[in-house]
Amino acid sequence: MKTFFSGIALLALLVAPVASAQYEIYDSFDRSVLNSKRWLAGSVGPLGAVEYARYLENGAMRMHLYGVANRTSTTGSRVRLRNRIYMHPRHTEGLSAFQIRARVDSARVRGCSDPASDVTRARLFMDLLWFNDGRSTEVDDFRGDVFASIELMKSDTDGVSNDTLRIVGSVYRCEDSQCGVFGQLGESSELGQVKIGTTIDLSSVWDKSNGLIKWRAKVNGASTMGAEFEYLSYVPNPQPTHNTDYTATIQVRAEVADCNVAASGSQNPLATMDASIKRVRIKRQY
Amino acid sequence: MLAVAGALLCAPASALELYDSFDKRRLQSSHWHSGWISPHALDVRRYISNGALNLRLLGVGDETTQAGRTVSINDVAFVDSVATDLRAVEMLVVVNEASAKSCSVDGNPSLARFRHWGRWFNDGSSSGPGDETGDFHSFIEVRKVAGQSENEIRFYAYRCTDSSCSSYNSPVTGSTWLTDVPFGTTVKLRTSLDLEAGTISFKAAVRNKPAVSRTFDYTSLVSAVQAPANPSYSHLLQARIEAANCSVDARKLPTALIDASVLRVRVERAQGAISETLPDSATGSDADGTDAPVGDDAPTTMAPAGSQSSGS
Repeated sequence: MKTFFSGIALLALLVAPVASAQYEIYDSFDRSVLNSKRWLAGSVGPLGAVEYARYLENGAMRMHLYGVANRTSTTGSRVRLRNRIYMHPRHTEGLSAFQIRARVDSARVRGCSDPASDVTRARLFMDLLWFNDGRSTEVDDFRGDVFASIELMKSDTDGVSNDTLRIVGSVYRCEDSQCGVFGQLGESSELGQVKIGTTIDLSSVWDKSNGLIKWRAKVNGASTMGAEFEYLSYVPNPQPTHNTDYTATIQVRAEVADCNVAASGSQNPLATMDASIKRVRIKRQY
Repeated sequence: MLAVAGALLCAPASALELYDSFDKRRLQSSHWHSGWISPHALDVRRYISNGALNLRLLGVGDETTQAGRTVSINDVAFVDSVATDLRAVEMLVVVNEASAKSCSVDGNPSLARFRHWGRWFNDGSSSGPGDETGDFHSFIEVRKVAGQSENEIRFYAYRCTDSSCSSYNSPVTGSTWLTDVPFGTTVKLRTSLDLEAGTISFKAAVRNKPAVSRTFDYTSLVSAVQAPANPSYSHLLQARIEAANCSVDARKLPTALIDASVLRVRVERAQGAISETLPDSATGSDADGTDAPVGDDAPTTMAPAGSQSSGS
């Protein structure tokens, strides 16, 4: 675990060199509809996203997802539903930091009571495709692409109270050309927790010179929560990715366990989340 | 009023029954499969709001080509167990907003559409799932066309003549226009299949206007009637945007938007009651935020047959 909340982290932030690039606003969502010059939308196949919404309202991007799963068999797996947008590849060059100001307005999960079932989760996260490990040879070949995510998450097994979300950072690497197979590098980092309804800044930074991915979570008036991931032991020689369509995504996910409701006596598993993204800021470093 | 009452009393018994009045907090997965949300659907809404199913979609044209239109879709499907033997679908719908802007340089007009689309049967020509040859489809829709002020209600029916239904023939003759409907006005749109007569009928009843309907005989086009090879996602409530592509003026990309609220859906089926054929999940609760007792999520009470007139 590479986790810290301590005063040392705060001190480190305060003495960071001022020469680093400044955040610039990428989108403040103050138009009537999402700016197609800045974002691409992801598609959703007909699975189980019963309700789904993504739109601008009152200066924020509202994202909503409500999903259910297979209720006739407990498979040990789950339906993964995504509501996501991608930063337009025209603007991703030199990206070194990505930050969202977000508020989860509601989140609820109900898992399957069958012990053989998978986890049920509701997640708001941003995913950054920072680099490749050298294996990918062309666009749409995801082998070796390394993603870093930071998220606000609720799971039916995490034991935190209903009004609280975990803040988690993770790093993944694609192991086949479609990224159908992928593996986590190291372990997830728990940055801390936040109450539902709290506005929070989440950032993901690629510190190339130090071989670090840095995550920060900051609630106004509270000290910064942070974690770092040292990736050089996994990827000694990072290369640019070919897949710039997926450099930065913001998404709400509902992951709902398959569950034989009748046999297990379980209630229907579900996951739902409503989130507002108020702005996106970025840094570039060339 | 007396005349209206008389018409109600004398009307032939309708077998339409209530399928959903959207009075739960969430869209019920016992009644609806979530449908496709396509790429290019930037602004999309599908949820229960104020006792209605809100389906909204904004789509954007492609800036890399001048040819054609970019299609975006946001839809929900009737669950398979119901869709397989539907004989009529009626939706009470309000179009809250619609717009369609085309490319500044000539090309196809952008379209914004809200519709019921149905795959009713196959005539035996299909070789199996994935082959739509011989499928008989229809739609009835509210449509906004760039450059036109009115929201048109249009319909179509067609028999697919190839596997992807890129070619087809149709029993529909003459205009496919039924009527116009202003924003914010409820309209009842119904498509009915009469297998005995070999006809398909379209009907639109705009509030405070006389209902209009058209009926077409399809028997010359089909040799038999059997279940479609692929019964899933056979009947959809769909917001569909076809935004003009525009490479010559990428600063002003064409957009089209439709925002509709479905207040109620009624259906007629070949056999059985809805409550007997919905999946088991209908007996559980989907409701978010409450742990409702078993049964709270059960189908809403069926309206008695013939309890409503569409105003004709």
